[in-house]
Amino acid sequence: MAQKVVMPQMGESVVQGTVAKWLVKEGDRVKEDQPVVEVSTDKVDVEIPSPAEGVLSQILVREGQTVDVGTDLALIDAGQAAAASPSAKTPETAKGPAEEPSARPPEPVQESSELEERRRLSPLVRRLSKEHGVDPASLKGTGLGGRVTKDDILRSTARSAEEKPAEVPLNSESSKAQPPKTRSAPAGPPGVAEYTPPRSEVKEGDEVVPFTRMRKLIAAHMVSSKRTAAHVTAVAEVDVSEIVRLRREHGARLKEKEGIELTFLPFIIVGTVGALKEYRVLNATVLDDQIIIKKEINIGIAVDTQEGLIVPVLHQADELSILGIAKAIGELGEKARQRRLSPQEISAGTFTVTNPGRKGNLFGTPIIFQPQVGILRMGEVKKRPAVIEVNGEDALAIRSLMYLSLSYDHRVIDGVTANGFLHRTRELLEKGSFGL
Amino acid sequence: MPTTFVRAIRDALYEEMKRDENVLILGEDVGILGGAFKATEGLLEEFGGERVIDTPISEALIIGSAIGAAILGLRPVAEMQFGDFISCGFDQIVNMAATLRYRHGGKAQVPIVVRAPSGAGVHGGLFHSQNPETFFFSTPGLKIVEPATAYDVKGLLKASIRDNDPVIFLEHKFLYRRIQEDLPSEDYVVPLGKALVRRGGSNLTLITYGAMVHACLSAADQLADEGAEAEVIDLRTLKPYDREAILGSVKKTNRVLIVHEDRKTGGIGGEIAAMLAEEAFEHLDAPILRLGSQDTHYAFSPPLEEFILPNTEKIVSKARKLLEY
Amino acid sequence: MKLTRAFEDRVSKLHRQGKILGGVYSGMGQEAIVVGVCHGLLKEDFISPIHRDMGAFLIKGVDAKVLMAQLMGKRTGLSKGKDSFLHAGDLSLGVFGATSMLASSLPVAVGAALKFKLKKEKYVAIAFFGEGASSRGDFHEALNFAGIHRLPVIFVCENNFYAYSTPQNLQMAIEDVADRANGYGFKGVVCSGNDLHAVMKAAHGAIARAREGEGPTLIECKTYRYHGHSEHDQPWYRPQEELIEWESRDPIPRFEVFLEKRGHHIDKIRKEAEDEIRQRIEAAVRFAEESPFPEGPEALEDLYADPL
Repeated sequence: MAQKVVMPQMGESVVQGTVAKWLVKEGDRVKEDQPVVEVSTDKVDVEIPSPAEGVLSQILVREGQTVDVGTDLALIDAGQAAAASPSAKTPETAKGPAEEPSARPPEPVQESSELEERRRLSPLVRRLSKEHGVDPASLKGTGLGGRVTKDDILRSTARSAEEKPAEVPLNSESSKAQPPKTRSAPAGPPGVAEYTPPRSEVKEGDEVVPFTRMRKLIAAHMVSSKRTAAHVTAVAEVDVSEIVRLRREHGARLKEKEGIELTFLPFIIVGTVGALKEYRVLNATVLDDQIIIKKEINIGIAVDTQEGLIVPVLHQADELSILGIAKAIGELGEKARQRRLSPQEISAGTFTVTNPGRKGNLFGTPIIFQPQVGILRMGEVKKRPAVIEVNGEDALAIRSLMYLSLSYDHRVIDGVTANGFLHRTRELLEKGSFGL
Repeated sequence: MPTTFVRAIRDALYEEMKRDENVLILGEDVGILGGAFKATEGLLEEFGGERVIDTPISEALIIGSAIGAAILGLRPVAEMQFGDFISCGFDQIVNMAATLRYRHGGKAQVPIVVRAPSGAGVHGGLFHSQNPETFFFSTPGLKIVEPATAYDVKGLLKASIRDNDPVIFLEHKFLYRRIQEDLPSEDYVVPLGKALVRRGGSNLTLITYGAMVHACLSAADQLADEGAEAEVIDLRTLKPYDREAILGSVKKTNRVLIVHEDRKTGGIGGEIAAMLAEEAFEHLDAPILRLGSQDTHYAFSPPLEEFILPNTEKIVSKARKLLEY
Repeated sequence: MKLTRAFEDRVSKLHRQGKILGGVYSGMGQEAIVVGVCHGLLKEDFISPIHRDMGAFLIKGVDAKVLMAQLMGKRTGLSKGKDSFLHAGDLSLGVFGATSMLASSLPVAVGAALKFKLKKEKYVAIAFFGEGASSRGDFHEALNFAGIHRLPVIFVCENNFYAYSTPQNLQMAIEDVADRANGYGFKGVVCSGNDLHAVMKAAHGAIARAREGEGPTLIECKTYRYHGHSEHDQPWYRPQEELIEWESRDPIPRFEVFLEKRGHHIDKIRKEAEDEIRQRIEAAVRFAEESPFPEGPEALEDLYADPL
């Protein structure tokens, strides 16, 4: 009677594991619970204990091979006496039920035949998925054997198949964003039937507003971004009282003399840029399974227009003074509202700052602009009582406070980094001089 | 009063002979008998023995003399009593007619039409059922036409007679008396080289010609009941075939089944499939499928004929496979 | 005849110099046939010569320059380079180019005669062929039809006793090809193919009959081919004595003798003829050599009168 050593599921999102090291040989006697093999997964390295006492009669997966969770790794012959067949090379004896295709050495990645069927893409589907920025592997196919068909692609996209973005109101890079080619998990956990949301009905009196081209693009981008990045949001409370003071001091003069509008945004940008210089991994993009840490710091500034959100880009913001930034913001904003932005002005952004304005509420969970990895959202400035230190003593004061929400891509940025960046930004904003 | 397919042929010949005194007919039994299928009925009486010539059994002579007369300005319409006999005139078609203009420096033309009743399904056996189009398909200098409706056979025959190049005009004999429709009384032509979308659809494309057009249309009706809309393209001219029409349809439906009565292996469906694979690769959501006769001779006994030939059921079945992919 | 012979001679040399490619088929020794038959034909009369009948082209008015260019595959030839040799014609001069399938042009010539009859024109069609070609089915079908309808077509058989290497007795069971005419309901005539006058007499008689609507004639001209089947063929399969014997019946000297007997100054005539011929041939060679070859893509042209 043969027992099996099986690749366990170490964590909900783990689907594969690699055999790191066999701790016993074929033919060895093993006791129940004795560790027989070390496996390593995305999350953790672990020893796997034998399920039974007996002889490890056959190793099915070699060291270094990666297999799906649930794959048989070895056979234990539980009924065998001490003298076991030490044939390590050719497993002629214990064939048994262990005729897994995973035993074949040359294929490190085991795929069930069903998975193979689903990956079979027709030329049309390949082209459409590229054009629409849809990863077919993330779809459930309705074709033969679960194949993804043209209809599956079209149903899953918000845009129509003929759409090709001519004038690009969005950051043009993000509109070209591809979902990364990671080894994505099968759609949905096993055993859960696919959910089809109810279709909206149009009743009399309803107002039907068809998607404009821009709306289609935004909709697609937002959904795609959510599907691509692992969004986490951290929030910091920033004491912007000093900035308020600087604004009061210099604002009127700058406006009159140089036509510069000194809003909060230039300050936030300066602080952000300063922190990005130290936490460079937030000034990066993802390409397949690589992080491209960008040399230039180009800050995208989300601007709200009548048709929707546009994100002009402030190129090489680290080389501008706060006045330079304020001026550039003013110009870009004006051009954005008049739809006069050039392609360069809406491309190559590496990090985005978004300011919802006076009615922006406290904080939010913004969506990252692909293919960037972070986005900072400003909240309303509110005067609140706060505890400050005066002469070493705690005291109560009225301070101007703003929440900064940072959404970051947890595929490439861990909490420690993100929090460090946010913390540094706050520091620079609260203590910086800004060169005014 | 509807006109049958074969009567439409006859009317076309009549009208063209009336219209142009250079048009003449030659072939076996075309005059006194009016043709084995009555395609030339009454023409001898109307136009006389010099323009409707009963020839000896001499396919090479029929075609060769047609060529000789044509290069000097006449417009002969040569009939092969059965398309199967066209092989007896193969040399005259392929070596004499097809090359004549080419080797005379473009200073000669061969405006002949070789009419050939072809096709199976009439218990014809091996020598009264052949589809000879592939014998000539790759020979430059020829044109090949195969209409599927009474309207088209009349219009295409007129166009072929007025055309200045050698035209192999294949008439699927199964259709001769089985299809009919009301035809306009005024003169009209159907242009060579242009396919026709007989039925619009968005789920798959059926590319076909000759008698199979009707089987495909029946199949399309059945498929519609199952929720699939098939687009049916009638090629009408086989050489040259209408690439644009085919490509346009396949780019729309992304799934294609080519149906012809000729054998599957070596039939012109192979050429069309290769062209599509080359020029519409990124528009294919499924492999290109073909349905033709079995790769054997057109046997005589009914159960054999049934097995060999494509029909509506077989088309539906193949189309389903295409849709399921 | 001299022009033809000189022309062919030059062609043969050019072929061996590599300036004319492909197969070259000499009719040397048989010149009297085409000259005798085609002498006096109208422009509209339709002839379909065989591969040995360069002279026919020249007599019907094809420019020697154009013919030479044709042989060299130049764009200025009859085919514009599309086919070699004599597979091209000039229908405006009534010359039809045959194919390599011997006897296949016979039905075509019959078709031409059919047209003449239909349109009540007085023109005739003349189909040349070798005795070997008469074995093919197209010969039978063509003569049969011509006989039935009494068409104005003359069938001229150039019997040089060998089809390539095959002697006549392996080609047919009979001595005279002309006997076949009987089977088709019209007259067959045998004449000496090397006797210009004999040929002319037979031909003119047949042509006159045809023009009057009396139907076809089959004229068989017995002759001999000096060279091999083609220029790359050394006819070792023929006995040497045969050649010598036939050379003694060479049509050209024979005609010269005739002229002399009639009181013409043969030396003077010969000299003038040779001078003129030499000039024409040299001009033809020059023209052909200086003519351009066609360009590759021209291979796609001239397939259709109505391209689709």
